[in-house]
Amino acid sequence: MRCRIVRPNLESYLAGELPSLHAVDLQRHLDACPACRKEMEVTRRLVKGLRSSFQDAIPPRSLPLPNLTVQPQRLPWLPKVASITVLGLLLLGLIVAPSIQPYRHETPAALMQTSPIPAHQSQSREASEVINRHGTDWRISIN
Amino acid sequence: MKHNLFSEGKAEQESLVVLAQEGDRQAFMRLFQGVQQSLYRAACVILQNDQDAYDATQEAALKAFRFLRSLRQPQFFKTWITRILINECRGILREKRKMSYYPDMNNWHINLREAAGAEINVLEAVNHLTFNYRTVVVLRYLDGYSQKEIARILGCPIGTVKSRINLALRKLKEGLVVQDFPEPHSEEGHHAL
Ligand SMILES: [Zn+2]
Repeated sequence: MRCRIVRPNLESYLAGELPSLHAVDLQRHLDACPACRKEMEVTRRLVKGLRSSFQDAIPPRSLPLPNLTVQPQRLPWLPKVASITVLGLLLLGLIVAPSIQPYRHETPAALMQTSPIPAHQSQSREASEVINRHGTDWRISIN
Repeated sequence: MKHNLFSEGKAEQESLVVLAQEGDRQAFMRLFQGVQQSLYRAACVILQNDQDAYDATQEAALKAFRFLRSLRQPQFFKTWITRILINECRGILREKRKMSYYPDMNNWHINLREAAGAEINVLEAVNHLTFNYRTVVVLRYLDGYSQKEIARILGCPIGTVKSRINLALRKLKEGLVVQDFPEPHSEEGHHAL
């Protein structure tokens, strides 16, 4: 393991979040490399400083509970419509696909490249992304 | 090892989520009480203003209650509501158009200074970080979330979380070189990160 591999993993190592195999390699490197040992010590002190600063700096404050003036919303209808559409598209694909194939039957290789099924699969993948966007996370997406 | 709201009474917490999803306000209040301080403290560091932090926390509670039915895995309530809070903070900062500006010294800073004494150097350095870096630092070292949990909160890959943490730490090290860390750069020509 080299220094440039070790350095970005030091924080994970300190947090115990490196897979054990990598951790063993990293520890072996640290035993042999004073520069990385020093960098790890700096990182360790900084992380410790951050933790204790945050703990000390913001004392718990008694906060009033929010006044829940709203009702929980029903789940939006869009995911249901989208999933029905996806199923419809898949069914349509299964029905239409055999009728397209005879036009492309000359070479099996050509068939594999131009089979309509992947196109429908990618369509359904797009559609399910729409579901995801408009399902669980659509109201709280970060970007 | 990691701080986890649901490590105790996990099943009870999950049933509270289910009750709250049906509109049970008491159940939601109990859930929210378990995360309120954590949300408020995170918002304090991210927004650097306790009134804004309070507003963000209250707004996050309302949105969480309103949209709770879109939470399909009750065990992720805390990361889910934290995600809502981070979005609120982002919105507040965007509104104030101070995403990348060094903030004014406000009351909160003064309170911090009194409470933290010598540790203020670290916090001032955190305040210099831009939104994305400040947010990962807060989630990681104030709340003690794992990289995987932070990835879930921010909706980005673990690799992105890891590189943001590393870059934030590098910036903090650079900012804290003189006061806190003698000779942080290796003399052997190794290039950290
Ligand atoms: Zn090394």
